[in-house]
Amino acid sequence: MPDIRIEFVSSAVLRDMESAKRIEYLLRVIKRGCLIVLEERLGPDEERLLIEETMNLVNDKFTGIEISSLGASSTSQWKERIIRMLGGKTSGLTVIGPAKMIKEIKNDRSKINLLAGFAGDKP
Amino acid sequence: MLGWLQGLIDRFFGSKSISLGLYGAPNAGKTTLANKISMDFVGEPLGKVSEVPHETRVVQKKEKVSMKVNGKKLTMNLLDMPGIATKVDYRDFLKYGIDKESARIRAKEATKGIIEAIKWLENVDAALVVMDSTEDPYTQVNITILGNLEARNIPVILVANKTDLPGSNVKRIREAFPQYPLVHISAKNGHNVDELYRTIFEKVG
Repeated sequence: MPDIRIEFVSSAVLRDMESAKRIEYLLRVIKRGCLIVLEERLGPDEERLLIEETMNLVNDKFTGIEISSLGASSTSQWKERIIRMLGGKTSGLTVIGPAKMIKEIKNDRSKINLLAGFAGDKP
Repeated sequence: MLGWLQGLIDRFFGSKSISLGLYGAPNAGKTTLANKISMDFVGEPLGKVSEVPHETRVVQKKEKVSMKVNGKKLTMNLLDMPGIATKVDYRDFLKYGIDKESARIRAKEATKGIIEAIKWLENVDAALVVMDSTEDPYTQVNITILGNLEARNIPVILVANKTDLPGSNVKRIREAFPQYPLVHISAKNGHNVDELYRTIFEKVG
């Protein structure tokens, strides 16, 4: 069975990045075939941008992503940005990975249950 | 200026015009519902329904749909959005008997449709977020749709669809998203759609 690599990303890594750069970083890691556990929740605009950019990348080999988040999402992107600029952390947790690797992902608002493995070719 | 004039006309004649978007995951029953609304108020369907996911791959529009309930009139542009997903695999279409090349084309079109639906999130005046009540509603797609609509202060009505099916669980949707008005319907057989129309008037009319 192939190995599964998980990258645990501190919110400090993404703190100074603009939304587009954050999404670019996340997708770069995912396309390497890694699961990401992010120490915060993405804002609604970032979630939207992530889906949009993922769709731009979809092809026969890369079929997209699975994503699940915990914690309240702030509806204000500016509020989140100011918190980050002041060195603070927005609460939450996000798990993202290549769709081919994640067989099942369930979220009951207090925990995320994830089953990963390779169904066929490595992503 | 035109918007102001339209507002004055609307106020004078007691009518209002809005863009109503139907959002949700693939196969939630958005097109079935859009067809039901269109048939009830225009007399013709809007789009093709299929059991194969991503049947709607471009935004389907029906303009100037006049909804009349209890003497009130609401004119709307009905927008049936492609289902939003985080993954599209052409291999998933093969099991429906679609050949490989057509499946690849369908997948490519589906990704473009998802992007188009996402871009429209900024441009609708109100949204019906349609969920298959036999499925787990607490998915990232539903969370992302609702989060983006809420961030833009766009009024939302949750539609728990497919209540005609044995595994339907409306309570699960209510518990997952208690902050939104919810109407349970069967778009397929028309059950409770009158309640949905009343709710549309109440929340966005």
